[in-house]
Amino acid sequence: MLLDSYDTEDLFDEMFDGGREVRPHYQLLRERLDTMSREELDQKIKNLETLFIRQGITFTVYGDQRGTERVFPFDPIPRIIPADEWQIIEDGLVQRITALNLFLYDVYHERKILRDKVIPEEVVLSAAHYRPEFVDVDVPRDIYIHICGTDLIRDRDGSYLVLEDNGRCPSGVSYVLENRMAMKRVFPNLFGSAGVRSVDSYAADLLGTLQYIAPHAKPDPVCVLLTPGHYNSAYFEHSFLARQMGIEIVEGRDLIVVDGYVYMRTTRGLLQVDVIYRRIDDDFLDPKVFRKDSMLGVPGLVEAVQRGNVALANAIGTGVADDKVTYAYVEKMIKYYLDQDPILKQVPTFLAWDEKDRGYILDHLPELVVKAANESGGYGMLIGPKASKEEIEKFRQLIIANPRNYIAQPVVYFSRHPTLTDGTVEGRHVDLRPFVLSGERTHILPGGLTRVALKKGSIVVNSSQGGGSKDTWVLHPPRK
Amino acid sequence: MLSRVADNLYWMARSIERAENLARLMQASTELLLDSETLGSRYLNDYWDPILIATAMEEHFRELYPNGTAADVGPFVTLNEENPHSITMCLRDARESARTVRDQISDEMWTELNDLFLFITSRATNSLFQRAPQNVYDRIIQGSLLFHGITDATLARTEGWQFIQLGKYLERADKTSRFLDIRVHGGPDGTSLDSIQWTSILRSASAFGTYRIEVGGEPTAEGVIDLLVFSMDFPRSIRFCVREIDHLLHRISGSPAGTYCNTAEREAGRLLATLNFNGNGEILERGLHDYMDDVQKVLNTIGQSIFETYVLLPQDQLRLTFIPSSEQQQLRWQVLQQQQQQQ
Amino acid sequence: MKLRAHHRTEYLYSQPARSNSNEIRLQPPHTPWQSRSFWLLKVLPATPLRHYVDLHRNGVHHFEIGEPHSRLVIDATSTVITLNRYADGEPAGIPFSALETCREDAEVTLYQKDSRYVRIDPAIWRAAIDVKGESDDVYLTAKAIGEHLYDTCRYVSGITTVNTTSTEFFQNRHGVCQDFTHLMLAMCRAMDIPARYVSGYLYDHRRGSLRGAHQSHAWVEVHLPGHGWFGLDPTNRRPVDDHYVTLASGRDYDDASPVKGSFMGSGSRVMNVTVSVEEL
Repeated sequence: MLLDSYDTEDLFDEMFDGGREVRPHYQLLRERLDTMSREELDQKIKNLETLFIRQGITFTVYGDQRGTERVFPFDPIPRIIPADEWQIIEDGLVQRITALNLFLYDVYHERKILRDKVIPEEVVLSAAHYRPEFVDVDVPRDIYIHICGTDLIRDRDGSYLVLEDNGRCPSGVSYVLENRMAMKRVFPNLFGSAGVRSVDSYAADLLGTLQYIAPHAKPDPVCVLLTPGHYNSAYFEHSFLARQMGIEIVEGRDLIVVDGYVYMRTTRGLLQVDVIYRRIDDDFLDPKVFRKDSMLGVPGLVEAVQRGNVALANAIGTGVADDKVTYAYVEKMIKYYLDQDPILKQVPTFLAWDEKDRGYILDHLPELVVKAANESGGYGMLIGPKASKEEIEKFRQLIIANPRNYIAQPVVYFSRHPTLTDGTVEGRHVDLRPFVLSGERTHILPGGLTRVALKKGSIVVNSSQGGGSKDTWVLHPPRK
Repeated sequence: MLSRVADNLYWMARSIERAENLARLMQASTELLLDSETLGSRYLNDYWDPILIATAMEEHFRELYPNGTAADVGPFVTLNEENPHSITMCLRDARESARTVRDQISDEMWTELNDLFLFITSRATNSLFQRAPQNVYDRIIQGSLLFHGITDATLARTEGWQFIQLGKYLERADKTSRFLDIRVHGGPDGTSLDSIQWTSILRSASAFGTYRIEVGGEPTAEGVIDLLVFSMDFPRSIRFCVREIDHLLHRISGSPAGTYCNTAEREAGRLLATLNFNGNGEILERGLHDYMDDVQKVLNTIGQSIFETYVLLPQDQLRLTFIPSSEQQQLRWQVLQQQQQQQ
Repeated sequence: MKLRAHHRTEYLYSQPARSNSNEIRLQPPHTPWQSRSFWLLKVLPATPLRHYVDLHRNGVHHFEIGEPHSRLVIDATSTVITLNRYADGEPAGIPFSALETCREDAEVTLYQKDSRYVRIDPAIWRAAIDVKGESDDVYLTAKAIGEHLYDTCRYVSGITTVNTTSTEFFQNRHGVCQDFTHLMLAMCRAMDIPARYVSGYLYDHRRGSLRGAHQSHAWVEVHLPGHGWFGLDPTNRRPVDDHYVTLASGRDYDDASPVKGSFMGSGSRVMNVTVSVEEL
């Protein structure tokens, strides 16, 4: 049977406990897997991949002239999270996102947290994604991050830690929804009996969030999704979400700003747009204000936002909150704005701009993970224990040259999860990206993207670098 | 609906219809050739040249195959990715257009189009083409028909549907007129074509069966023109297509039939009236080639006007000066204009 | 019962307000029949929050917004698990003589006296005597007082204000839960029954059948020697079971009010409050 020879190698495993017994919430899955042969499973995967290719559930690989599309590698053994664990995640994320939104409001208004010296002013004002253009600009409902994807990992004792917040344009939610559809085909009978919570309400909740932030609480606002275009790697997701929400998917060239209002070009003429769910980074939004060479944006859009005539989700300037240096201060923010202790812990972080921390970092490079403050997708990273001497030296120079741009963390631990490999089922490292929507309420999609590093021993889970994904099952609380 | 979306739906339909028509033309022409095995090689070139001219691929063919022979034509028209007008590239264009408007079409439409694209670009198809080109053409024709059938059965009759139909009928009318014209290049005038060649034209327009039922007997110039130009009932006749175009344009703009509010409507109305009142006599008198040339010009004008009215909005024309045009935008517009010039 | 409550208060100032300082009593306490699994208070404009525990053991959060602002939002979300205090039946059978035992207990005697909005005046005392009649049962007397108010007072909003006293309500008999509660407190205290004001939420599982379910609600708790505090809701003529979420308690509204603040400013002010309670 598939799992008979599975070895946890004494690492924290999602499915098996320290005594190598299957954890109770995985019992049903284990039983189901035991009835399946490797051939049966392989056949199901093959069918699924065909289905994915036929439906175009793909991401585009950059740097390939022909715009090759690949299927996001999908592992059929689902990750299961019991209700009590999920409750902690949900509570912790609501708390965290609330604090981040208050922080952004504060940073772009009175800056109390800086004046009170809870966070050093220079950290915020020097952040690459800080947007002085938005100081004292009110955004609808005072919400900045409407859609957040927060990456979680599990510590050696199994407790969840926040690895990073993605508060700019987090992607991946369509895979959550598609993976679920795929899993229903692999294990059609398991869903009912396992008590898996549905992820179907995401699009409706997202639309509700967008409508909620319409300028001047306008009823029946026109919402659109702004995409960089169909060559973008996440285009599938953009069109998937637009379709699920029943809103237009537009490119920059479909929009035009006239007298401070945004319109889209339709066959009937110009139609005013109230809310833009933008999947374009700040830098490319408006060539009049940010990158002049941007061909994806809409000239005049920033002014329309500043004048309060159109709402953006997420707001401009949220990057200051998911900066990796800011990350080190989120626990202090929670204390400051909410007067609470953080529910979810995070990874201890050394800041290269702090002289004392920098000394420690430079002395311990081979043991640490160094990250550039403003990069995402696993780029600009040094994994000390796996790096060559040259790489370490290169990062030493980079850090000395630009300390503000680097942070270091001890090597974090990623839990492992049984994963189908070529020959058998082996443990692979996983993380978890739940999606948080902040509108009238804060919704957490009961599920999330479990990313898995398909390479043995690797902890790089990014799809651009050899990561795959699993369906994530959040269970209903057990019935009394 | 978004102008860009309307434009993409229109081109999606045009491109797939174009691929289907090319496939049918190649299929009919290859079959015709099988019936004329005794023809000399010079005649072979003469045989394919009009086809390359009618499909606007002659120049490209000479570039890519300076010493090209008849055997190069099939792969060039069908699979060659360096020929921007090959069937493969038409299907790629159709799929790209569809991909940008996936949220506007049904899953089934996308799946069929994507399947067809995956088929045409697969290695297996390449080798199948060497062995049995007819099978490849069959699949393409079937795929296109299936796609239009699925569209009929799964898409709401909204504006998007109307733009899809516009693209389909404009392309179809254009291709029917071109196919009628092809053999003219081969002989001094249309009347000298023999019944085998008329049969081939009918096959190119999938009209052979209908001809036997509706007209009967050996195909003649009069009979073929009556069916492919003037039939009210045959869905690939020019008159049928233009009537649909006229109807669709009025549905889109909301202006009453018989009136017009843009160039496209005016030209479509005019062409329809001409077709309503003319018969094969007028064509044969004027010469098939010249008559078809006029039809194609009007169809071009209609296409251009649709673009100007619904995509390149008049408001934009005033404001274009302050929109820094994106590279993609320029690219797309160039593609559009190129395609239109070739019609 | 697992309940989630969302309580949002928004003030809109026509002229910018300054030095806006507020005390918030919106944190559900842990009690033997209520446990709080989640709680979050969000204030906009963003400002540091602090908290302390007051005399009545309420968790109080406070903040001050110094700079001018034209809008203040106080948004509280809580998730609690409630148990039914009456699961073992009603605590009848305790005679008035038992109240003697709490004479020395300052934490209880506090709730037998007059307070800002609760006045034991002679007319109220007389009315309470009439309701009590010959009964020597503390709980049943309190319950009868509540039922009497439900029967003789009309639930109408817009007639009374936050400052209406029990005496004023006793006279015109039209008011809201706060008034029902104040008058019931006055009548209970007139009979020497220790009674306190409780603010909280009410989950209306039948939607629309209960008063005060979509607002911040209030009710009475009476102290029964040897048994502790039991809630009675005179506005709905109901014992306070697991449909109720307690936020704060005190002698009267003044001690337990959910949001209380002051600011410097001129011009008018609009307050919008929404409360929703759902079962999870």
